[in-house]
Amino acid sequence: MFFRLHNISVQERLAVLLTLAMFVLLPGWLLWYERMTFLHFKEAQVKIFTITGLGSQGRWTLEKVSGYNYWWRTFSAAEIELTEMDSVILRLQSADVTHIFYAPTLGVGPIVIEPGLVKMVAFKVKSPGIHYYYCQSICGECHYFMRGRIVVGEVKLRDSLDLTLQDCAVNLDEPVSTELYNRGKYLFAKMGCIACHGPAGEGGVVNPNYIKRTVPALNRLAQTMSIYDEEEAARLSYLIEFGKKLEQIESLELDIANAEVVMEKYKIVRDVIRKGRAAARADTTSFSPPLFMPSWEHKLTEQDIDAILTYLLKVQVWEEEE
Amino acid sequence: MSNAERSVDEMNSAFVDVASNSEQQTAPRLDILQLFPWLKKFFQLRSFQFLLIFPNLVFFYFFILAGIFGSPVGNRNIIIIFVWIFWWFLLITFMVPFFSRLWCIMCPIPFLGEWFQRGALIKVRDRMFGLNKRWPNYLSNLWIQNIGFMILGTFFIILATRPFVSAVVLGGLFVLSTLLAVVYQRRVFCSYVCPVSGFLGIYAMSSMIELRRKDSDVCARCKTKSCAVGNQNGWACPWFLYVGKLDRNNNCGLCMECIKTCESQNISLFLRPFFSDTQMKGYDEVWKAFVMLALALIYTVVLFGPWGVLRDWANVTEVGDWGNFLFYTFLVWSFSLLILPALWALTTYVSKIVSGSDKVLFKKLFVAYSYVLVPLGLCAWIAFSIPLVMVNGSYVISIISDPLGYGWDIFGTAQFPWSPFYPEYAIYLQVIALLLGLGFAIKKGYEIGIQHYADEQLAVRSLIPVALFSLIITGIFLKVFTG
Repeated sequence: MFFRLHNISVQERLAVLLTLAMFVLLPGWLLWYERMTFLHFKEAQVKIFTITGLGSQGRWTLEKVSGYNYWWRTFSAAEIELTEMDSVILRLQSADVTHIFYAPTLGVGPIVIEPGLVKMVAFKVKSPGIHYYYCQSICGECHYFMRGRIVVGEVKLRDSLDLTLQDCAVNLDEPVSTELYNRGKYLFAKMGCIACHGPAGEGGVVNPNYIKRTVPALNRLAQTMSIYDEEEAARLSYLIEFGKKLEQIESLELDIANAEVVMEKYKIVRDVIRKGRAAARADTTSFSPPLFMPSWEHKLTEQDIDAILTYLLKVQVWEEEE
Repeated sequence: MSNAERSVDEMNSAFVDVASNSEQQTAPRLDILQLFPWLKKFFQLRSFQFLLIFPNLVFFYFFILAGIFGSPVGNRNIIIIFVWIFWWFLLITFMVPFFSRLWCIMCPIPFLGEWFQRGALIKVRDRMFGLNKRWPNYLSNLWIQNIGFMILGTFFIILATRPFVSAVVLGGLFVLSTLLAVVYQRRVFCSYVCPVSGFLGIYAMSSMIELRRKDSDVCARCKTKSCAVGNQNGWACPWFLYVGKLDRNNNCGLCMECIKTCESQNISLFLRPFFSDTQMKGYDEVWKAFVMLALALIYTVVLFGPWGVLRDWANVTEVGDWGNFLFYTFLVWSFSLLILPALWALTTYVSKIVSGSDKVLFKKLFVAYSYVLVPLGLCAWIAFSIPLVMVNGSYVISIISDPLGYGWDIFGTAQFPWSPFYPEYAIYLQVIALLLGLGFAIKKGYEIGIQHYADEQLAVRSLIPVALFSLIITGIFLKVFTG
């Protein structure tokens, strides 16, 4: 066109018009295309939710994550409310690393979500209830906190504090003190144990199809180790701290009832932490519970495990709650 | 300021001092515009530059929007894939060696500033808008560009993997260029500030095309010097050049205004052998060569070397180790600005001693022989870029369908999987590139030696340490690439 237009003024005006139009039309086109992409879903009255996984924050969010806000903003957890018989499309994406989306009670997933790629999954909700969804891929330090909730129908939530949904709390400074209790407390939070076992080991995090329904509380661990009073727990804690290694602890005289049984159970608990354990299914024909005890032997030393147990022994609940 | 009001004397002091050295133009040249007259007609169109810049402006604007509003995942955002993989590879491997500063004709960054200065996109006026201040003399060199490139180079991992950071940097350069155009004359940003322009300048010396006068006598007789001051057919050279004395590609942005303005039709585009320009002028250029070679080496070691700890040091925003990042920064800057130059100084000092002649001063040798770092550096960058595009080039196919990582599929290729393109053969291409660089370095070193010593024996003797240095550098690159 420009070759045929000999009049420079006409060329100039066209060039200016083109440039100004471009500055306006380009972002306009982007917005239009984004809307048009899902118009046919909206016309079919399908509810569409875009859920973005953020490994850095241990969060699934419905908020828009983009280049300019990923690095500084704290995103709110995704909570979806639906009514029965809703047709739903979830657009799943990751803002950083690979996640695996899993909503077992909805029959959705596991779905691998690679960074930047969008996966779509459609389903219809049939009955009221609270459905939790999880990440099944170790996606960072905050992985164990990465859970969300879909509430279907008029369901009364158990309480305002749902331990299944917690903010990632792993950004802690290592304690200066070398005491095992302090180190244990630090590791219990740093490794994300609190995500499943609760901030004070109180348990209560929902684990669908798990035989005990919720993740076990650890503030009654002493009783499973045949330790029945606070003084005995304190003596064991002291010996762990003093003995430093299991062989040395065993060689010391443990002035508690059933000392041999206690030590055997102590070793079993340590092994569970080291090697992990699958969660037993309530319904053996149904899906595996999404939460299970992972293996820590490559991340925690023997002394780290002793430190965590020392901490837990000191936060035990000894009296029955009324 | 009206172009007509400029006197020839004022013009003589305004443009870059590029002393004529007709002895340098001994290589055979082919007049491209004589061979392809339609090309000359195209260059003479007033709309020529707009037609080249506008598509890139659209892309540039789109990339900025994508960087800010698109996915934060680098390989799913068009700004990262197209700028740091596609454009960079094209620039360093094809545009610069074959077409000199071709990119500068079509770069969108100075668009807005130049539009403001000229008050027009296509037509020519007899005045320029803005404050039209002169750029300070003490800044009329490459030092700002050297430091600017070093700063970008220090943060290259963050820059090349974070869409938002890339968008901010490119947007920032756009704004800076516009502001400088409002205050200063012509393309001050491109000549003295743009980090890309800095290395395009010295590597353009390798190019197989050049824009030059056809006949020096015609220029000597010319009374108007329209190429430098402009006329009704075109603007004054935005790069402050006078073609009558132009003897290197370094500062010419190939905007073709001079081809429009030259009343004697004495300017043309020529085809010539690679690395025909061999004269380094000034320590700023020499240090630019050091910086480019050093950064090529550092990037190669950090990204392709077996020392993952270096990557962690460089990747500060993910790893968070600011202490080691500062140490890494210290290493990068000291190696680029001090250690490599010191090694080079030692090399040229030995070169002078080995030559056995006091005919050529050490300082002159230091500057003159530094040209060998140009082919070494350029070919090292090509070798560095080859695996990047062979391994990651397939992202281009998926990204064009989903440029913002929103889950779109505009052209149906969004699900195209990542497919490295024969990565096992990348090493062969890298070796060829490095050996070519070494070959040209030694060849040009020989020519420079002859120029300065006149005696072949002295020249060869003085070349030995330089050739050894080049061999060692090439050897280090080969070792890191081949493992």
